[in-house]
Amino acid sequence: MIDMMAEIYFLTSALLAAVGAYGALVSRSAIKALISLEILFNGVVLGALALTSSSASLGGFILVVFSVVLGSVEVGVLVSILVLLYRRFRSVDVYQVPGLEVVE
Amino acid sequence: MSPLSMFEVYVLLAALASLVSAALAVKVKEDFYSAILLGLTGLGVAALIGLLGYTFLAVFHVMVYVGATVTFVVFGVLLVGRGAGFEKRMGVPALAVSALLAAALFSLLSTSKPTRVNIDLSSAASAILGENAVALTLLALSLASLVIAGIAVASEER
Repeated sequence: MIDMMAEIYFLTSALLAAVGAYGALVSRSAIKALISLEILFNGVVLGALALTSSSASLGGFILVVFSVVLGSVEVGVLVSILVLLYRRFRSVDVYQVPGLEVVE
Repeated sequence: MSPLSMFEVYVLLAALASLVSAALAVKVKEDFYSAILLGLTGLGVAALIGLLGYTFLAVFHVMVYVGATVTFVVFGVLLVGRGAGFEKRMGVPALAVSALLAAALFSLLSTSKPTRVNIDLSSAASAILGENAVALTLLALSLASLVIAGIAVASEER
């Protein structure tokens, strides 16, 4: 693979992680923060695969298979928590959750 | 400078699609569209994974990640409704943190030289079911926790 392709993979991975981190930090909505963290997860998965593709071992492949499944479980549990949060406080705004309000 | 091959064009298009949809997913105000755009990001990343040579993993990513996870997020958004906007005071610090993260990740990844791989599926399956059987069992148990979480949401008294 030529170097330009390698750089595209690295840049895409780094930019996806950066976009995800930015979204998670600026979003007030817990759902949007979760979606942003999932974008970060996608970037890191791509980076892990690009990093381990030069190695002959199957370690990276197995790690990503397990992490994708575990990521699904994490999202399922988090969405359940967010639905419960919404039922209790009628909002998914993290600043409306008691104890997380903005202190001026 | 030699013209781009079809393979390079595919990689560029997949990278562009995933980056644009990720940026839109963060920028758009409605959480529903954000969740749909997360699905498109997942598809773009799956295409990049497939172009790297991990074709089985690309199909797995589409089925498990886009097919299950993103669908779960979309229906979660349908249950909770509209989003809550952005915290404008966090803009500059968040931009600085994400730029630092991107630089750190890029410099870490630059130490390797990715090549197209050719995975032998039978050896991958025996590695998952044999050497990593304990991890697979723990994964099955964590999937059971997902079912329990779903039941907890469904049975919550109003």
